Amino acid sequence: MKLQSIVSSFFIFGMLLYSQPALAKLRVVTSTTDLKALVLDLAGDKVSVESICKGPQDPHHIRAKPSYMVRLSRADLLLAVGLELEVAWLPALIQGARNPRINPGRPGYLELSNAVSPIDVPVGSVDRSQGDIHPSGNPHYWLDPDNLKKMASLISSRLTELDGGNAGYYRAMLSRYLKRLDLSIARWKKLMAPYRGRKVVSYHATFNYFHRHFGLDAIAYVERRPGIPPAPAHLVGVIRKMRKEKAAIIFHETYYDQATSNMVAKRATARVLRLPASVGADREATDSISLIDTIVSRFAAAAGKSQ
Amino acid sequence: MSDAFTFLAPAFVICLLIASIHVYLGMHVLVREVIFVDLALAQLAALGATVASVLEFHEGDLEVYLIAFAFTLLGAAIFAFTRRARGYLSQEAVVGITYAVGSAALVLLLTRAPHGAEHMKNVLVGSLLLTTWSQVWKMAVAYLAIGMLQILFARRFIMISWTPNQAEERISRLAWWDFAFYSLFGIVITLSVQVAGILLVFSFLIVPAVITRLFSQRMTPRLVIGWLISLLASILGLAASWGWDLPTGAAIVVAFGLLLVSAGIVRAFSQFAGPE
Repeated sequence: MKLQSIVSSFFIFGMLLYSQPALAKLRVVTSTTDLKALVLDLAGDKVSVESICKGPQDPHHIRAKPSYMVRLSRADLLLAVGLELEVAWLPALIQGARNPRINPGRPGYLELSNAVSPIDVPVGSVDRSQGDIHPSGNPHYWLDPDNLKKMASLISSRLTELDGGNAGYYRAMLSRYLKRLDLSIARWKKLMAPYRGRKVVSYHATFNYFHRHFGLDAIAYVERRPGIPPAPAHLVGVIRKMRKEKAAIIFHETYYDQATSNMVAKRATARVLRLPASVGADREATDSISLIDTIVSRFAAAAGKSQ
Repeated sequence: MSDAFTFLAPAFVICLLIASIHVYLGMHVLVREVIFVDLALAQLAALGATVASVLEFHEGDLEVYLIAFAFTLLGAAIFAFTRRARGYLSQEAVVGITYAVGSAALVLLLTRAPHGAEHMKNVLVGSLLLTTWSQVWKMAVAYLAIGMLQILFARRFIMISWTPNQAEERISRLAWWDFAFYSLFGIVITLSVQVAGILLVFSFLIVPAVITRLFSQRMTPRLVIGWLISLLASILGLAASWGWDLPTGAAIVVAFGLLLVSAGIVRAFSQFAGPE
């Protein structure tokens, strides 16, 4: 029958696209590109690694596609950010993939939030002017280089646990990465030293870990709640505050629409810095270190000018 | 190959379940000229779920469903009782206004809701691919019950939809029967939208009804052909989604669109004169 042949050719086409040759390598799937970049730095070609979220995408909202399930069904290790960042899509994908190795609680499932101490954990009555609320704390912790160290160590030890044969290699790669990171941290510290205490604004609460690490003072958010048009009174408040406290820079994530930030910046005579919040969100942000490099150098350039 | 079946089976079964009842209801909606009534009712259900969240009930609480259902009933009441005035008030206008005001009220409420846009997303943007078997079972039970009520009252509902003037003469408390129809419809839509998303639900409702209307006026052949069209669109959409790695719901909607275009071409070139 014609229909049957059309349908079966679709299926065969799909199989050709997604059947992979059997590899003895550990198969790692990560929820975000930031975790994938870390795995590449820590395991080189000893594992195969893929990320579900692509760099320019907002990790809060991902549309499920069949290949995600197929990848998860074959994975030996799933790395997630945690702190409810992927709550809208990852649990359902895991359930759909029917792969007991990567169920939460098994060695094949690792939330990197276990390695860090979250900030912005709401206590008591939550102040709703503070933007999006993640009940377990702010999940954008990979933008603090000190957290990258802890995350790298945790990933490396889990890789060793699952793939003991390459333990020596993983150890060497970890110390190489940590050394490279320490050098960068020292360099960033010097670059950012003049701007300690500088007052800034950001669109979403994405850069709070970055601000804390470098001693920047975030005084307001442009957005009140994701996906909701900001109320005029809120924006006027932000603009007044920026003028009064001389905040001249708005951190704006590449995956949010920039119109509101531009409007606020114009009225407050400030500048909008379009910054990648994840590896791959910008051409220059190719791994965990160049991501922070990009943010640091763009901020330093803009802050230097506005002095 | 077996991968495809394991991963897509729950989504496929959900499609069949949705088709079973939506193809029939779509014919009602089309003849009543209230095409967007599903959007309006789904929007009201989302509004109800958000009200529940502002009242600090949590997702999964019984109260959330009850409040969402209460808002759906409110919509059913609006549509049933304004239909009395259809001489000088277009139903389509009432549906549109309900949708617009419901959406705007939702935006206003979301600034007060602790989880903002998440609720709206959960209610209006189901993800077909992520359907689980337990959802399939729940929906099967609910649709079986509603389907039996539909069959029980089929004669009345069909008369009200197709021959409203006759219904006015013969059926007492007509507005209440209309209210019952829209209430059942609201439950059906609220359940399907949560799993499949508003676009896909709209397609299952309207496209088979429109295609079959091109070829026939009679209920039974239209039902059978409508089910076959839904089956075909589901298979094509799922296959394309798998083969080309596309979001599943959107692939099925486009498959429905292609089937409608093909049917239109066939109808334009077919020899026999149409139903009228």
